[in-house]
Amino acid sequence: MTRNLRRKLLRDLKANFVQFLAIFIMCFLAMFVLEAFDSVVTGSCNSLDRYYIQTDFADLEASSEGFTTEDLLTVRMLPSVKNAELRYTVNGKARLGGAEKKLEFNYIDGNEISKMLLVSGEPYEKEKSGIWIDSDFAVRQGINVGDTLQLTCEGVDFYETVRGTVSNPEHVYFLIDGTYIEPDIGGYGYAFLDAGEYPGESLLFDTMYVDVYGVEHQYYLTDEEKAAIDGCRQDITQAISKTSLAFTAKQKQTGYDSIAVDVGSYKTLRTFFPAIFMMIAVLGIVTTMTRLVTKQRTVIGTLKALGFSNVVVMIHYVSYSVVIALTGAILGAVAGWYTLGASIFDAMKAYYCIPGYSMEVSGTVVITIVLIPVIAGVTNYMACRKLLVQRASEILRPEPPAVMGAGLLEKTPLWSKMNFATRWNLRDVNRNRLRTIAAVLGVLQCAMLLYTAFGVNELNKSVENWEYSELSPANYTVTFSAGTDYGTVYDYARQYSGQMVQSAPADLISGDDSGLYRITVVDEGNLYRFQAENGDYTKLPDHGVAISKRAADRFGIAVGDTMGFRMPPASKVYNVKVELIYKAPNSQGIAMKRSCFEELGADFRPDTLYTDMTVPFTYVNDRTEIASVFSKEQYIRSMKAKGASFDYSVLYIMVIAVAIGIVVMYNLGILSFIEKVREIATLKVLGFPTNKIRWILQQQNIFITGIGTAIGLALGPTVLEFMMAEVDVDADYMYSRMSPMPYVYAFALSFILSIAVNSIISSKVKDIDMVEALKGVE
Amino acid sequence: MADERALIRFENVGKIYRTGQIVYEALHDVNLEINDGELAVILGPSGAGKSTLLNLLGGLDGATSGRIFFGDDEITAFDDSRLGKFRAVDVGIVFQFYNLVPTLTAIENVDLMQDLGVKIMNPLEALEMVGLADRKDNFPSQLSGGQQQRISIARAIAKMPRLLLCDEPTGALDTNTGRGVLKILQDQSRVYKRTVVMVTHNSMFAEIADKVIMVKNGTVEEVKINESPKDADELQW
Ligand SMILES: Nc1ncnc2c1ncn2[C@@H]1O[C@H](COP(=O)(O)OP(=O)(O)O)[C@@H](O)[C@H]1O
Ligand SMILES: [Mg+2]
Repeated sequence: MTRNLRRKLLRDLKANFVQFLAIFIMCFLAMFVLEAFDSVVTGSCNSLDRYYIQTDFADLEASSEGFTTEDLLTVRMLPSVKNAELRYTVNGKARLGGAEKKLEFNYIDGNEISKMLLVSGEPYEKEKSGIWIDSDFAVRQGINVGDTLQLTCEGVDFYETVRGTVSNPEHVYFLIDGTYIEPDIGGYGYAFLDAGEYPGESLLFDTMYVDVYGVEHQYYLTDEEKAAIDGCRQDITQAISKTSLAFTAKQKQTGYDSIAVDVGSYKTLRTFFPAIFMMIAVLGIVTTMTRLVTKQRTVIGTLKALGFSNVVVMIHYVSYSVVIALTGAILGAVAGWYTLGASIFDAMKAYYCIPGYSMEVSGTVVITIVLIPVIAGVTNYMACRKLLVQRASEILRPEPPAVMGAGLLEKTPLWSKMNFATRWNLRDVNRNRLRTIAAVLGVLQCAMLLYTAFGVNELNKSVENWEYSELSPANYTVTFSAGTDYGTVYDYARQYSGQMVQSAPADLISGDDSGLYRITVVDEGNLYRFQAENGDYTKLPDHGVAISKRAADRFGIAVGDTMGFRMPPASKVYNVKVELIYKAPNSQGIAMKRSCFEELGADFRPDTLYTDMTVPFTYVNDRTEIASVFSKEQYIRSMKAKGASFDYSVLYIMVIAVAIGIVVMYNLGILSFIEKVREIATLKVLGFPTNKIRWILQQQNIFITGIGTAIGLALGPTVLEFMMAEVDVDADYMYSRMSPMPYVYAFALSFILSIAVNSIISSKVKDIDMVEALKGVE
Repeated sequence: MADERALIRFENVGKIYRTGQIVYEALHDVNLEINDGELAVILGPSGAGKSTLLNLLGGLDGATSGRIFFGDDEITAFDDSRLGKFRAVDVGIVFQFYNLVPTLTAIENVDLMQDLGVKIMNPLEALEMVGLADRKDNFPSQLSGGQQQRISIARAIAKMPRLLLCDEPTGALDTNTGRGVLKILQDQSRVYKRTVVMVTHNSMFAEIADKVIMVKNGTVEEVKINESPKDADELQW
């Protein structure tokens, strides 16, 4: 574009500052939200993927009481197995300057699968002495390569020299034992030693890492690859007979799985909200640019008459919105990255140990940044084209005024009963339908997202009470180590008057459909309870099984249906009748009485004890059968900590929804005001007092806000449920017990905002210069 | 037959407007010739079809029938982009309502022609020719109607077009200001040998023209050659 047109562009931008600022802000905010979440999502997945690639993260992990070298050879011979390695993992201690620190010891017979990645020092070699230590632990505890550490493992004290500091993909999400609910990176650590360094009597490998044929990807697994992993699992099960053989497929490994879950919830926020904001932004662009082009009709005609080609005029006008939308989108992305994105990322970093963990820009974001100005440009182009296809002489003729009333309404008898203000407003609304729709949508999204935000807040607050006062009110929860026998658990149950529960993964099967959920088997007692959909307490059925609401919805199961379940790795399928549907805040699946479970011929193996008596935390370290002891307070604290980052995101979204609401209302309000200046001036000349005119304007605004809020609030619960369901597939909430407060807040806030914004605009009524406004046809 | 010196030639030109069901014949059987360097005045009552005729000549609108020639080119055969080029290179247009770009200053409005990619004279010189060099940095809204019209003329003549078209250039101006504008236009023909076609409903202005084309009811009623046109300065109305 050339000099003078560029000047014109800049001056037009200045002259329509409010409108362009509004477009800018909308594009900015849409991109802000998108990039804030996307940078973390993309960065997490890609960083993890790179890490897994670098270290050949195991595709399948098998565990048992003990693998022999023959087992290893057998597995290696399987056609579905590319490679396999053994490892023995056990917790011990390191004595560091008088203090004892928990250290997980990994005795290895090779470093090919789920390899340790050397950070400093010398690499591991088979049969090499010394210890390779978790680099985060080393940094935080001041351990250097070459130091000699005093260690305790399996009751034996011994010394090892630090050969190197390392990181390991199996420890991306690492809780050393049941005393931790959240990671404390570097507060405890892990270490690798050659199997030959084992200080105990004889080493029994408890874990086998398997590299599966046909699995080329690491984080981004295809369905075929998941199937290959499952196939390999079956091969191994058949090839070696072991009691207590259990498997963890790659995508179920704790690091992989919890990143995937976190990423999943941010993905929902990333997709859902920017899409709404983007739609509002596009509508804003359409209304604003259509108006600008209409206003410049004469100028456009003149430029064409003077010989400017359509293309040049088009580029000139299209560049308005393109320039604004592009700057808005880019700056929004940058701001989203550095503020909300950075803080979510910090929270993630405190949970996950991934070397080179960083935020990243995804292709989606780049495409969107390009797409926003393109959409803006195209809408703009359409508005221009309508004019430019005409002959210069036609464009130069003033547009015939739209002789449009309130449509059919005017023909009804109702019309004659309406007062002047109502008629005037209805005509105005009808004449400016697009603007009205845009305004309604602006208010709608504002009310809807406000409801959602207040709803999330209320649900998150109530889930704490629901879960820890109503469903499992026990003061202490004790979990037992895998393989603890019934008798041991029973003794604890008697000593602490506790209730025994077995909780395990279960494949639910309904027809051809199946999915991995959990089964909960409950012994007699009143510390583990159930509630029906309406929130009333209910007992588990005496026969058959109960299924949680979300699982039932997923399979379309109703009370009276028959379904199957299987408890992997066992392949036996039990068929049961569904007698009850219950609401569960987390861990969806099925639940049944111990008696029913045993009727099926299954073995009750409780792994959790709920009790109101105080259980000493020291049991975790002193007693091998006890895996964890948590108090109710600890659970609540961890729940709050985990929810904090999400709450923070929701707060951001709420603020942005309000901001967009204000921008839309103000922009469209100003547009409509400018369009009406002549009419308003006429009213003033006729003697209408300022306040009366302002009230007429406010009436239209209340009408629009009313419609927008009503639809927004009607959609609110659906959006809320959809969002909560997407964010965490295992979570459920008592929607039926929600208070009306989210409605009240969202309604009040939307109205206050809307009326305030309109008041600001209509305060300009008294500044209208009657003579000036009525004089020139611009 | 056709005059050898004719720069512009209309052959049986007709123009029909259709708006919905309504069909209106604004021009029919228009035949005329305007020579190179001539000052031609198109004279007629309001609604006669003068502006329509001028718009066809300037390529702002298309004829429904007949042919219009500019030199050897038939502009009625031009497509939209060729017409744009024709307007950009050969035609200078002065509008009745000036049509300056409101967000550009006086000199920028003239300089705008440079953005077209055509060679133009120094914009300040063009402003000097219309006597407004001192107002070069004013925006249109800060200038009077006459001054705006002179800027619009400066804009038209800056690119030294072969053909200058003016639709009621003094329509919105008082006598004295109007006379000044007419003087500038007459000089364009007399001094710079440009072809100037001016539309007016005021028969007084016919006196300064070399050729007067009388239009009535959508057709050319009479063409008069003025052997001794008056100077614009001498005009009284
Ligand atoms: N776009 C149009 N649609 C319909 N009729 C038109 C249009 N433009 C002009 N006319 C009609 O054509 C006739 C000639 O118009 P015009 O050339 O503007 O007249 P003049 O300039 O001589 O006053 C008028 O009756 C006018 O109403
Ligand atoms: Mg006219």
